[in-house]
Amino acid sequence: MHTRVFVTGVGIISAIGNGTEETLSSLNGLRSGIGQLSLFESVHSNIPVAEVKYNNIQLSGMAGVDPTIDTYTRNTLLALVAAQQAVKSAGWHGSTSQRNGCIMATTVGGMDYNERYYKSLLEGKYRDLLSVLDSADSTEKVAAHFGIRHHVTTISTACSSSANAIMLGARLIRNNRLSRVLVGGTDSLTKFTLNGFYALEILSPTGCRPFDSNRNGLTIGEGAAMLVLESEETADPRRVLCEITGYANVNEAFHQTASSSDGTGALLAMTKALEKASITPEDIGYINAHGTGTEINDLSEGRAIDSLFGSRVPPISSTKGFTGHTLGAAGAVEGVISVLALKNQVAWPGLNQSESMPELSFTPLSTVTPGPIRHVLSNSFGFGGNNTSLIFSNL
Amino acid sequence: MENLIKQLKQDIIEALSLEDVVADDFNADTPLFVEGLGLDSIDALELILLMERKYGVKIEDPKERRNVLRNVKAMAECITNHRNSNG
Amino acid sequence: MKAYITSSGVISPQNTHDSSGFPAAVNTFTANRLTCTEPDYRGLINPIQLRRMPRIIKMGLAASHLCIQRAGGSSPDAIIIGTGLGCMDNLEKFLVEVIDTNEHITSVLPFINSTHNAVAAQVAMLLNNHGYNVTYCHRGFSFESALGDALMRIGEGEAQNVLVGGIDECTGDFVKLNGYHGAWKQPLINLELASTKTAGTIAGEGSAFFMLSDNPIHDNCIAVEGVHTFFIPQGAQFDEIAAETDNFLQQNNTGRDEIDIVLLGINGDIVSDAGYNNMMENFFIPGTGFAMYKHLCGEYYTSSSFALWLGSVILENQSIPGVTQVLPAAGRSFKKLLIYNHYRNTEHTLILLGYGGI
Repeated sequence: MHTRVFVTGVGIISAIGNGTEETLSSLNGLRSGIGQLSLFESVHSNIPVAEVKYNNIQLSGMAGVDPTIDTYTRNTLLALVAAQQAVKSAGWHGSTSQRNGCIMATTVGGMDYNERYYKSLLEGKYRDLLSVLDSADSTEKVAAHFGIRHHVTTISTACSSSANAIMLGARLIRNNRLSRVLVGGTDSLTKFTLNGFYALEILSPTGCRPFDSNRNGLTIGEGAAMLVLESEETADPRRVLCEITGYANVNEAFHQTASSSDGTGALLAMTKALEKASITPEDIGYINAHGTGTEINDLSEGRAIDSLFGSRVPPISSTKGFTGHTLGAAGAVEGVISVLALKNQVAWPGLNQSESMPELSFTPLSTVTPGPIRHVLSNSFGFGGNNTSLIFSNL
Repeated sequence: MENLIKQLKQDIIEALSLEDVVADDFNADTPLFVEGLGLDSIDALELILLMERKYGVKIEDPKERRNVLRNVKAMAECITNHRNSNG
Repeated sequence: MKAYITSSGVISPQNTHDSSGFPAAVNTFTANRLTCTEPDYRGLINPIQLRRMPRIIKMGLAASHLCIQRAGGSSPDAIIIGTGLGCMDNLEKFLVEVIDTNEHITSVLPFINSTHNAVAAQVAMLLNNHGYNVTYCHRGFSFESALGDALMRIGEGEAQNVLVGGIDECTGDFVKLNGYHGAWKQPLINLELASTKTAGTIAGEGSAFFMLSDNPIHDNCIAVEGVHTFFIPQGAQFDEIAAETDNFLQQNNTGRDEIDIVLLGINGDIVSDAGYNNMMENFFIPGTGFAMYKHLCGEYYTSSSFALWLGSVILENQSIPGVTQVLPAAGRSFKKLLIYNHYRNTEHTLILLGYGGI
């Protein structure tokens, strides 16, 4: 017996704002969060990034954490801010019940501390920071904050991480293992990832331009987003924002970092998600694409979308021109944006568009576009060929 | 040039962890990619970094890269040209 | 929902990767850090791909290869892995280079290899497997999260065969950093771990992969009947552990008195082991057999994957190997085995195995 999965609360903090209201305002106002690096010193400071516009002290205040306590990494602070918003908007307080869970995702973990203190740590200094460096720390601090004890875990599958966390949460509810689950992801901007992507030569020197013929790479962002998912039985109907009707994760098995040029993995993920939701491509009102702005991803994903939707590609955009690519948090950040699209019956454009890709049949939205939108397809594709598609639906 | 080719071969073996390969297994003309040593796109990135960091040669144009990385001789020639033009 | 272990592949500090070793032959060490006995990877992995793989990926590929071959060679419907540290070695390498060279790095490969799902991705690539592929990275819950997901995947009807793995590599930096916290004992004979009554344990590592199936392949196939985790940040009280365990057993239609053997995560640390002693003395009924495993594989986040293998060996052979036994079981036939482990008394895990349970 399968239970319907409802989204009853969301929280988000990214380069385009703190909370859903600021996020909506930025999206509607076409205000990108991409700008100059200010979080740390780097030889790559000329490369645009999408930073959350708060320092750690400010984030501590927002999260209700004593800023003099140093065991809160930026990852954890972002996660706490987003989680508190989500839980509050769901009208929940958290509890130790066996029917609650907390599933989060990250790729960098406490890397901001790692890169700042590594040498000192190896010399035996800052010993109390050792336990906050890994990917589990944010999850456990969030779970502890809300008293959640069961189904507490962390997923790490590169850029599809938090989409997979949402998918796991949805399955746990659908299979009646849980009644309520807090899901999402967090990733902060670090020298580690900036240098890694720089060495891979996929960073845009000008700011990402997803699905544009002149696209020249991705822009790293940071942020956190959380959702409260509930079963139909426990959800307060007044709090229900939308339903998660479809999800799928597949592996492309093509290359360690690149996707195939025909988008086999992307096509498979989207197809299976539609099957799960028992809807057809025609039912999709908006696609929030993965659309990183790299040569390879946009071609691969674009071709897959053309294959699946044929001549009738629905309104589509990547919102990474606003938020940057928030890596492990992307699935959740864009999941929340998808929920906002449904709730407000509007889809947002891809920014920095000038020329369509000749290989594709579609052009992303260029203006804020009203619905109707019944179903949103949200894609998140990660290194290692990890492809996840989610479908959010209006009731 | 001979010494540079010898050094480059060693650099390639080390940078790409070609544990079973020794310098005598391939010569300056052996194709590096697809056939010959059978390297792939990740190896290409490593070699680009090698050229840049160790030899100070930055190659950004994809066509030029394919040309320069086709074999050790081409890499050596590129480095030598760079050294000559930089006095 | 239960599933059956139809094959396994294990690389550990014991001779577990072929059938000639453990438990007939036991590796003993005088050390506080146990290192895996590794096969010749060249026989198992294409040398061209082998060359730039970090050790942990080789361990993962080799163990999964053994597991899949023993299961008949077919590609699974899903690949789900748990790893507490991920590719820590390459992460450290890239991080140190970024710091030391002031961002003038010379190699991008460690960055590519440092993503936590690198093992799962490589396994899928070698098999050309397009199934569900997820990696869990949550300390002492990593393997159990993977196992729980696998059971659910099979229960949902989305998979008939799932490759599940637990893998962690011990690195020098990890040992050093945790050493500052008094995590490790002075080097000792590993088999004497439980009798030390001092603080600290011994570090370990391993790679254990299992094929879980919706159908047993023979009458005596070992069933994974349930998995449970609970997180108590301030440290668990005995009552809480007892309640969680009772609850878990009840949900799996089992009572305390039906557990024939308990495989415990005893690691030699006097504080940590107090929890296990409490359960032995006050929870399970007299006559229950007890065994331990961390003296054989060391302490690491996914050590319960080694325990799962050992538990299945115990049930298959219907006997507790002497080198693992803490207390003998009163019964003659063993139907239910419970694995109980905890990490720092905050993360607690339970895995229930059944024998001949169709």
